[in-house]
Amino acid sequence: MLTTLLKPHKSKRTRTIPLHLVLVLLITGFLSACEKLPRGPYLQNPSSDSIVVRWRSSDATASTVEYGIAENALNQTVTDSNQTENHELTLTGLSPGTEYFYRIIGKDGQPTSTYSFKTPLAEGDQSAFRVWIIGDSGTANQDAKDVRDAFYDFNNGEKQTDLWLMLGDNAYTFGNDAEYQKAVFEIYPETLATTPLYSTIGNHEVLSFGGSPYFDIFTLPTAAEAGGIPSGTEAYYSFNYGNVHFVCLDSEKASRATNGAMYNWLISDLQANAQDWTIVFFHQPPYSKGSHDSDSSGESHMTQMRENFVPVFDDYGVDLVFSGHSHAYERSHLLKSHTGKSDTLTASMLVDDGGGREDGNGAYEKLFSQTQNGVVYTVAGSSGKISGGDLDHPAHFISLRELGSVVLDVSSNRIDVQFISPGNIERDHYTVVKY
Amino acid sequence: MRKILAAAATLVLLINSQSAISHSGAHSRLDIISHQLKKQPNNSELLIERSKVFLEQSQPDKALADLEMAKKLAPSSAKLLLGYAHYFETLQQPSNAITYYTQHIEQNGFHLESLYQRAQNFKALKDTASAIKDYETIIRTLPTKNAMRPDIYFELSALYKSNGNIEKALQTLDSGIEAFGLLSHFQREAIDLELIQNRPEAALRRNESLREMLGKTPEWQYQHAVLMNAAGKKTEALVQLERVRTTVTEQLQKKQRKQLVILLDEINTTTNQIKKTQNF
Repeated sequence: MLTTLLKPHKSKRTRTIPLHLVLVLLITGFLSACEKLPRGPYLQNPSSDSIVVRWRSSDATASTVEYGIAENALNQTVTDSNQTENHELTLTGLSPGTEYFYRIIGKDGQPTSTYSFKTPLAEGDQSAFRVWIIGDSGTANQDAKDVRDAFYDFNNGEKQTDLWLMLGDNAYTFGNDAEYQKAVFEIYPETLATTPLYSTIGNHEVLSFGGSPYFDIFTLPTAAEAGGIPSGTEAYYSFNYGNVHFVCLDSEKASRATNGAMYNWLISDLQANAQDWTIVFFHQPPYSKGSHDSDSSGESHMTQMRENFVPVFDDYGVDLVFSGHSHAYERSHLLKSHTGKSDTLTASMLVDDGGGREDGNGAYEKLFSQTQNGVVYTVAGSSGKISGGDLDHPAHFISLRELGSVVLDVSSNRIDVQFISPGNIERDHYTVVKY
Repeated sequence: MRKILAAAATLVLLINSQSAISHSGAHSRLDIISHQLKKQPNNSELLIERSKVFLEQSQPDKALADLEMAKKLAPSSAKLLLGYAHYFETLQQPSNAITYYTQHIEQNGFHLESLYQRAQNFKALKDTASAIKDYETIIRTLPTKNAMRPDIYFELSALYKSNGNIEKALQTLDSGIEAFGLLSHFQREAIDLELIQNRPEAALRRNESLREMLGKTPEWQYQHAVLMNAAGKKTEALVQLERVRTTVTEQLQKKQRKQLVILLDEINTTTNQIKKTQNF
């Protein structure tokens, strides 16, 4: 960019330009380059044969993306001639589990850098893949950056991974567009450009016009674009990635009642689910003694998720549940049927009372031939901040007041889960194996 | 200029305090707000915010005290009205909550949260007609893209059903399907309503529409058999029951689910019932 800016001035005359003018030109040039793409690109709603690319430009322009399977052969183009600052294009005709390269063509025909992404594995494919999970990350401060960098270090310096989940409260305080810019788009630009991202809505997103900016920013499945059953809403949805069925629930605005739309949709969705693994994520956890106490009568959302939805998770073979909300890391034993307050937990509800560690008492083992074979619940709400609470919920095997994020490595019939703190320090790990 | 800078500084302070408040958990959130209130004792918004935290911590007396103080400072605040509404709602006093939501709506016009929450309080009072009115206003006014819309249709249909207006309940579900595409949970609810109206053929047609989406699931297959039987197609129903028995048996060998075990029992019971009526 600087080279381009200075090239026309490589003359005797250029050398006579006063220093302050050069600085002004440099700054102006820098700003104008940044303005080309003030937001994104970011990848949304991926399926095994399509993906949505979104970005924001400084001026209203047409939208064009060039893409292909080699960096030097971007031989497919998708264009929308409508003039807009907020761009959204769907790349189609893709193959599953394949790396693609793409770039955006700006107003003056100038392309952005070329980025790459990998399309999701085909439904049922048991190949290995990695998922990065962050919760309550929206502080836009050094803590959020430290958590991010720890994951990058853990991921061998790579900012790209296969799949990325956000557990809500992605941008404090109100989840508005400006806060999203600072807490999401300016914190994770490289990962956004290269890794498909799904999110669930948090209580802070709801503070902005009932979550309106959140739904404007994200393009999420409503019609089972990547498998599952259509929900008709971006608030809760499902999708398949390889041999895993992911379900996103809305613990904020949607009815959490057993006669509500979300509950009834979930039943249909799980009945139709034929994947080996089922992972559910939503913001407000069923079990926490962190900065939010799931025993408190004031925490009705947490209570309703526990009382109404935990039985469904048990009955329909859900394996892992991830939430945020409390700004800590809390991870349960392999649990079943625990729908009451913390003092109602009994030994019979612990399908496995160990830590699920192969280097300890052994991995959690789940048999396909058994019903209600347990769920591991994780609160991962410390990706931007840590705070309060006694952290002593008996359902949890481990509770930590530490910053960090969760990494899932799925490989056929096993899932390895790790909690990574700043400095790339692993603070928890466990494995679930299915036979 | 100095005034502008001072105003900007205040704004930054407010944003920072709000940000800090919201990032924290209940205990520290309370500490932070209380700390800010020492600096700005006349900040009504902070008082309203603290009242919410007190409610979360089941301390309604303290919550009310903060609201009363906020009322003295900013009696016409819209947030104060919502604060009171939330307070009474938490205390399960729906009539009082409705009063404040109504004042908020009168003061601010269409407001999704106020209307929706007021409707929930009408429901708590079993005032279905008023709840329906609020839901209808929401459907008329809410932007098409709003993510809450499908739930609003579903809940409105349930209200019509509880009011005994089954046809209107069905119409509402169909409007939802028209707006959002075929949604299995809408159609399944509609099937139940068709049966209430004693229209098993219509119920069967609706279930048929879900074949592509759910046809491989034993639950759908069983439902289809039951509806065939209800529609007088007893022979077809028995054939269908045999199919679903095979599906369930196969699935139980691969992947257990509590529901499948229950379903197998139901299949046997239904099969026996049909056979009895046919004198098999």
